[in-house]
Amino acid sequence: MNIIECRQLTKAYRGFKALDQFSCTIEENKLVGLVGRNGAGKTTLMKVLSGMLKETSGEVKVFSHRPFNSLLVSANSIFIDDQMNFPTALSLAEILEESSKFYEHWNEELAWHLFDYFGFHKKEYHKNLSKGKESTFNMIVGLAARCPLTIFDEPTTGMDAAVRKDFYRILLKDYLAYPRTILLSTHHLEEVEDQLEEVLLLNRGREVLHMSIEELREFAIGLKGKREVLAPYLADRQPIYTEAFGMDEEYIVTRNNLSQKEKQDMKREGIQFSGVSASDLCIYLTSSGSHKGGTLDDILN
Amino acid sequence: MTSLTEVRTSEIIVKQYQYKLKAYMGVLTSLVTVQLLGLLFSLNGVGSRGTGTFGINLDINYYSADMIIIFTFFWGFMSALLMTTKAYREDDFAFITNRFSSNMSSVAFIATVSVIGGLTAIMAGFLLKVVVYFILGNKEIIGTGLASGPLMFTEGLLAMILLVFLFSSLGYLAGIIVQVHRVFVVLLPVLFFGCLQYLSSTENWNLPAFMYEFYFQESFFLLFAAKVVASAALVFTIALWISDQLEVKK
Repeated sequence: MNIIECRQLTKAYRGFKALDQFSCTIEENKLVGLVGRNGAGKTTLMKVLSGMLKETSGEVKVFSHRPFNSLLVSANSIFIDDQMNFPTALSLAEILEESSKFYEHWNEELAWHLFDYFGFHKKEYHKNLSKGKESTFNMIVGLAARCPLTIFDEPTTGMDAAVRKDFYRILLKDYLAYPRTILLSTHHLEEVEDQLEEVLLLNRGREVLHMSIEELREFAIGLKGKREVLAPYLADRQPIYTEAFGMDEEYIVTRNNLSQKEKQDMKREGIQFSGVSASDLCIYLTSSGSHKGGTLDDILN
Repeated sequence: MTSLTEVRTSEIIVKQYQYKLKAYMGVLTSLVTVQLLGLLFSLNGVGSRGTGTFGINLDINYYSADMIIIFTFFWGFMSALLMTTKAYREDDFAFITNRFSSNMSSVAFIATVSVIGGLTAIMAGFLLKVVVYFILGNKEIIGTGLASGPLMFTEGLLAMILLVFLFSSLGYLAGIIVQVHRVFVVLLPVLFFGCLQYLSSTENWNLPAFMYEFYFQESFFLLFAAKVVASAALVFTIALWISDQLEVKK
């Protein structure tokens, strides 16, 4: 069963297309990481999915409903970002009480345990919290709401390393205890990749890839060796990333679909193999060098 | 399949209304401030007259709580306008909502505070009498208008509540229009006063006069109430219709 379906989804802000003919489907009870560069359209996608923004064209379905103005989608999803606006007149404790009235599956116990664990005071106000504390509090609301669709937009902004680790642990534990669809956008894939099941990579408003984290880790391979030795092997394949080393050496990332024979030949000729981490691969796949402006090296030199 | 929570709109509106009662009660603080300010301005009196014949001096000072009432209308307008601003609308989206339920719970909240606003404005008239009594010392105070009978008083009270509600609805609509585009912050007052100026200077049809006649010259109370409620409902419907397209968290 698909929780989220987008077809040719476009969201334009005054002519600028934040999402451009975007299509994807996300299945039920998956923990999906949304990655991409700044301005790739991650936040826009999440806001459209949670019904905050209205799609410009195309189709978007959440629980088979159009999210914009849908009470059903609102009741079954929660969107947490670092600009959460809670009523300023309510204290933290009151915000949790109000949330528990609204969300049917609200986990009172988890909410208050985390509230105490992270050292919040009942009479504090949301607007007085520090950046990291604010994110931590928002995260508590997001987790305790136990919505069938939980959306976290860069939930760890401002959190210190210890809290980030705690967050990922709690996230995974609560997800296993109470499976639901969780969408999480992040710029630190390496921190969270052990928790994720799938990765959805966006670039300039389009889906670049959508696969399981295992597939992503095996997707590419790094080759390092002399340029002239590497060249014949790369004649009919597209390098994902190229970096020059010294005078005549080169590091090339390419699809990991070399045959056994090719690998043996390469090894004999002194080419070194290395794995490509999921987060590096995502950077390579969306590197800004691939469009106008040239590579950073061009600019720096 | 995860079981989805089925929600009824009415249920959510009630929940939102309850939370707004708690979260937005700050408007009552401004109500008190505004009415006290109105009271202060009323102390000046609206006019005085003095005659003296045969060694008797008669000084009459007129006092009116009109200022308090006008200030209360203004408060209703501004409070409703504030509720449509981005921060307040986004508050709703922290919990379960859609635009319809968010608006309806706001209307319910506005209706509630209109009752409080209307009630206190009328009561402030009595406060004015008390204050004037103490300022003027031991002099005769003759009440007019609302003091002239329980039925009259009740009607006046209800009329006041309804009018606060009507002004609030106008504030709400103005706020929503401004949310559509910033330019209306300037454009809306200009259009309003421009049209008012134009329509009150035309010869065959005079809008302010018509309004005055339509609402305030209505002698049958129930008809007056119906007119005001219908007007407020119309204004809120327009606001609802416009805000149905508004995005949040842009």
